[in-house]
Amino acid sequence: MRGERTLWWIFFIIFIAFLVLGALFFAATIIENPVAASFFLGLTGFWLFANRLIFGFAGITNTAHTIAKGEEVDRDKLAEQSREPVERVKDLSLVSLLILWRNFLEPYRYAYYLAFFLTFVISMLFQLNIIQSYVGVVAKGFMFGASVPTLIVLGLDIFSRAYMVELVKLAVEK
Amino acid sequence: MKKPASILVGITILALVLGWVIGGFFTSTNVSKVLASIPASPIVVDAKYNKTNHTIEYSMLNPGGTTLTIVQESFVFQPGKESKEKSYIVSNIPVNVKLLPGIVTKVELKLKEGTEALHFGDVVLATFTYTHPLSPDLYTVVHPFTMGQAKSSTPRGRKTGSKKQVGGKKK
Repeated sequence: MRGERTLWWIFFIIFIAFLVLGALFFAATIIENPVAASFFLGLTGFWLFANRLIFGFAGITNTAHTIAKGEEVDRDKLAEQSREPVERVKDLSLVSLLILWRNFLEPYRYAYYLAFFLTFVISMLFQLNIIQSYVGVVAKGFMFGASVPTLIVLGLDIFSRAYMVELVKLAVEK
Repeated sequence: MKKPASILVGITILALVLGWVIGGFFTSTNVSKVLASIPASPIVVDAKYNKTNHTIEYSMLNPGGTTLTIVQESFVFQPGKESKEKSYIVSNIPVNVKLLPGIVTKVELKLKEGTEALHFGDVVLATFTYTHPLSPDLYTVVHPFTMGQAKSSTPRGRKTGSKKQVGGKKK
């Protein structure tokens, strides 16, 4: 028992040491390279705003898949996601609840795509030499960093919509 | 369900392309940074004699990515057949001219005060000493200027030197 405990601690310390070393290497790269720093900033910053959309669309896709397979779904939890009053969603079908959930995410999706579009336009202004500055490379790095969570959001968005369309087709056939 | 699978394939291809583009972007910025840090030697594109100021104006191109600084000028004056002036040497004129990357900069060389204006055939052999930002060394560019010829030409010394070399090869 005691030997197991010390072994566990040793592995834990090695793990923490690796984490710290990795963070140091990462920080060194970012300090040395302003483009990498702006890339990291774009990635984390946009991911912060993309988080709600990523989890929302992934949840919609998952729930739609479960409903299509004919398995049980927790109706109260699904009703909670749309943030609608309980009285209003009491008698709605599961598919309608999913559509309400998607509608709840709609303004966030719109604002997110707008923010990415603005970032893209600014980096393009530098790229096409409309504004001439060294900042252009940094703006481009920021845009590329932002494009990573945007791609994930875009993919999940299209994916969840496709699943919902399938589900609506199934419901109509019934 | 066929449709979600095809969407997945499309998104995967898009992700691969995006990763490729990002990787290429980082590589290109690093490569351009390395290229920009390679210092190049300045090139004298044009030299003109200014009679009113009694100076020679050199147009120097810095083809590299770093700023070079000219810290010193010196020159040798050799009179041609028409000039009555004796040959003279002026060395170690301290100057501070910055040659910005990729730009032609005008550099002035003041000839000795009180001397005659340049005549046809006079030769001014100017030496510019410049420094790189990356090393403490001093580098030089030597430019022969012959009055009356449009562009830089061979000074007398070089012509005889080449003849000797050719002769040596024949033997």
